[in-house]
Amino acid sequence: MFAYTIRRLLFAVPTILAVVTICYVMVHMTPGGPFDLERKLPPAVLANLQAKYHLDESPLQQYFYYLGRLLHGDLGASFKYTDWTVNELVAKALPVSLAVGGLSVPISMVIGIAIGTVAAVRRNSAVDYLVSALGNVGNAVPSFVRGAVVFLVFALLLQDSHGVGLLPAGGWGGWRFRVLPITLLTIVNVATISRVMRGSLLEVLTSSFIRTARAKGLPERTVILRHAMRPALMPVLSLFTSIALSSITAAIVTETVFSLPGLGQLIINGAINRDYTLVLGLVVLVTAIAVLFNLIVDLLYAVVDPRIRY
Amino acid sequence: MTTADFIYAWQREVDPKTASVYTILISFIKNAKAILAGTLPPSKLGVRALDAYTLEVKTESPTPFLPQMMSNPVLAPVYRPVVEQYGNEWTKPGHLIGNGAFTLQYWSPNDKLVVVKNPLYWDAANVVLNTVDWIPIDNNDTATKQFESGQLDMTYELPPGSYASLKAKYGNEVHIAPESANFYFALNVADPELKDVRVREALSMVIDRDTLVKRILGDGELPSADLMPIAVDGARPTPRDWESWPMDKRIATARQLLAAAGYSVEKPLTIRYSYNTTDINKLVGLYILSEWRNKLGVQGKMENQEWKVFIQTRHDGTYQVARDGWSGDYNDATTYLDLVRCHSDANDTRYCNPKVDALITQGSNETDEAKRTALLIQADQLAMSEYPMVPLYQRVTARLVRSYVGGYTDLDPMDRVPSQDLYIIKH
Amino acid sequence: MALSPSETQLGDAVAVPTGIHLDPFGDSPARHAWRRFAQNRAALVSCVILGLIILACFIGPFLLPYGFDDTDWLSISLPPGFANMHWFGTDELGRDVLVRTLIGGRISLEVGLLGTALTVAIGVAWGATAGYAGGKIDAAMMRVVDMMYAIPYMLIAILMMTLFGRAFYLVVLTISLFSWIDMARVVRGQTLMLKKREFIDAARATGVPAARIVWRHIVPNLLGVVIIYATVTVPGIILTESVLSFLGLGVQEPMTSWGVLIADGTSKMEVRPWLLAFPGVLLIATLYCTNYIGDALRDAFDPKVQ
Repeated sequence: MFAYTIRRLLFAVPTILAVVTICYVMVHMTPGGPFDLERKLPPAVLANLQAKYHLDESPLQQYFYYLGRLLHGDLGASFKYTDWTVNELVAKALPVSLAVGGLSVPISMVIGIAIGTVAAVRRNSAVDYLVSALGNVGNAVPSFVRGAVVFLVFALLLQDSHGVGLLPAGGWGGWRFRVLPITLLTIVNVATISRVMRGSLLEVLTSSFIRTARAKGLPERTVILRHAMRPALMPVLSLFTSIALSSITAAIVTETVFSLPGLGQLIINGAINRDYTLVLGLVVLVTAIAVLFNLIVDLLYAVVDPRIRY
Repeated sequence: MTTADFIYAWQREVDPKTASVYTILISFIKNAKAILAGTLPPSKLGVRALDAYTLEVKTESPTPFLPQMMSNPVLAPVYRPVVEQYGNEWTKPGHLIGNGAFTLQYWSPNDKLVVVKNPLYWDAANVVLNTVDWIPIDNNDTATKQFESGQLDMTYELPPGSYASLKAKYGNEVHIAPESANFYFALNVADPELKDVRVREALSMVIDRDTLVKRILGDGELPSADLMPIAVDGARPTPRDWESWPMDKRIATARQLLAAAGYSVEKPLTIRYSYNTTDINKLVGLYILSEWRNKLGVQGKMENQEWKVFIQTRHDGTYQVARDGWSGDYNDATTYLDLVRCHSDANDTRYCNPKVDALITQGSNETDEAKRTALLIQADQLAMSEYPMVPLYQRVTARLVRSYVGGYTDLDPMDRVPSQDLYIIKH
Repeated sequence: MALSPSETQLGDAVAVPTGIHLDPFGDSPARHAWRRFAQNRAALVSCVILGLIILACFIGPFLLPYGFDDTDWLSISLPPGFANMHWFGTDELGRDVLVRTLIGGRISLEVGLLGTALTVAIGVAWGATAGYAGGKIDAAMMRVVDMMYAIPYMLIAILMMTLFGRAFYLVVLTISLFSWIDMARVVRGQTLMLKKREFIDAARATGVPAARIVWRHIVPNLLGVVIIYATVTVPGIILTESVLSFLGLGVQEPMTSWGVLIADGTSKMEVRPWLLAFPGVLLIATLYCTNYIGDALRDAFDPKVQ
């Protein structure tokens, strides 16, 4: 298992390189460059810009130049946010995304698994329907609508004497700025997790080895918690990377609604502005996170189901 | 602070190594363009220190708006030792040294920028505010919500279409002011279907701009059939003769023009409208295409594109009709006439009439103000009579400002609101 | 006594049609599944409602007085009412909200159905193959998945549009290009678990080729989880279409979809709530129905459900 982990971690390097190369090609194939502005730039000015950012060299030369700096941990300077390097931008946005998305993930996992389990155990009862319905709200109601509703309640209806909302409508600062965004993200994630947990647990509860356990006379609680939960958790575990990544790096709707300076906004703005270095830098970050999380999940598979071996 | 700081700043701006992006204003200074192209060294820039506090600026042609330009941040002085010591980091809080009423205290991109009062400012006694927080917000709805929940004292723009409801809710806290900016459809005059000027004239003639501005947009925009906004210095917009006709006459005449150009029910005109996806562009596009369809039988298609792709489409001329607009870089008619000059950076319509260019150049070189204005108006009239574009309306600055924010006026068409003029009223 | 696929000890030799079981008392397996499905009342109601929605979207517009792109300057932004047959109200250009909602439904339902189908097809194939093959093949396939997680969505969308122009199938393709990776990971996880079961060992021992094992034994046992997860991805797929439309890849004005209507309506929610309410309600109803139907399908494929 240890050797497996090391092998996977070493594999992260070629994976990141491969993604960077693919994205590099893609980004340069996409029409429009960072200096395509509403007003055409005079040729002299454009030439100066391209010289400064090495954009006048051949794509291959630029690629190796980028890789060289990447190996030194230098993600380059942003084209759009001209006073900032990509390292600085990422360093500022990552803590925000971790605080909101990162916190939302474990909360959603716990709530989602709990809701899904209750719904599965009390199948087709009123509790099941109610719990499922609430869980589905996150799924069926689009995020921007939920954000608007949440805002209406907390920032508009509940205001203090100065006309300031109980919880801020957006922006970043202390803990109060995190409550609403985390709530929003959690609602989305809980919906997914609870549905998958419910379906998966139902599958497991009707399988042969559970019938055996029941036949042995074990109390229902033990049957569920000790025997059924582990295999039932597999699909939820499989989704962990996806949920974590989308909450941390792609929470664009939440970030827009609450105006959070997170990674989602950076990625979107980078793509829109054709800010090559910013996009590639973020790609490196996301790949590293994806590789890490997938590795953790795969290791957890072995914990949950001892028969799984690498 | 001395003239040396200005000279250093401007020379640095035209230095090809600095690779400045926004060079329009500095290009008015003598030799600036040559320096940018690398044919002259930065030291040859047409600016000279007469003494420690007097600057002599030579321009390529008479530039009556030069003093006005000086307040643009692009021409601000730069303190050389800071740039030399910190390199790329010279603009960060703690390093940046400026000559304004405030100094930079905190800056986190996409998050917040905080400035605090500068006690060393020459007019510090009259600056009331101690701190100003600038919050970059991408989405106008989000900004409005933060205003409503008490977090913001002022917003930048209103979400499109929200004027009526916000006005009802906030009354005088909604501010509308005409802006030096227009909104028009660029017509690709090289396109086979739009080559005939009669077609272009017909397209512009039939549009009911009043309904567009009052009922579709409703934010206080002003209808416009000329490329100049109303409040610009140095020229005046010229009404088209058909602007005073009743709509029936306009439709009938336009139909005749189209028929003369060879279009009929059997052979309808087909129009492709390219735009980048925003609510306003969509709305206006649908409205105009609908007008053209109902009144002229034009078959229209909407084609939205992502921003950079759209910009390339417009610059490359692979469009037929495109959403366009212009914001004056400075308050003078010539910035708008740039839109119809041959091969200018701002002209995506492929329209080129040497006579218009000649008039503009003549006007720019004219030192007598009345003659200058007359020449520029002539240039505008000539260009507009050939319909390289369909002007639609003049934009407004619309925003929310709390009633306890004093000193906010709606007077500047260039929308410059210096924080040093603002103050908070006790509330 | 019904045999379940997970208990078939003798592997393929017994030729048990997988996913459904043999009832020695004579009922057809399909009818068994159907009966189990029909026992779920919520699912039946959902089928009816969904059927009505589909009918309304595809046939409705022909029966309504207004076209979806008919502008009317005299009827701008009307709230819902009976006065002039704008029962759901109008938008800022005087276009009827009801007919636009139904027309938009066509697009969203098609995208939802095709997108989900493609996602399931690719995801199951990829995940099951990787999970069953194990070793280097699994590693390689999963590294591809790792990479797909990192590639920025927007760039691919813009690139697709640039290279291939605009076409409806492109929207579905682009959406599926990203939603399959989650499905693949879920399927792989399940496959890792399933391949350790005794019946798989037995099948291998009797010399059944790997492809057959995957297709006839593993995939049918995955179906439950796959169905559930598919219903989870449907709303994402429908709403992603509106993001693509924003980029110019999806529907062009005046054509619309629920996603676009909802996105437009949200910003006007406080003043003109009908713009959001009607497409929103229809979307939510559709998603709830697919959820209940999905649950019932899962039950139907599961032998032990009471």
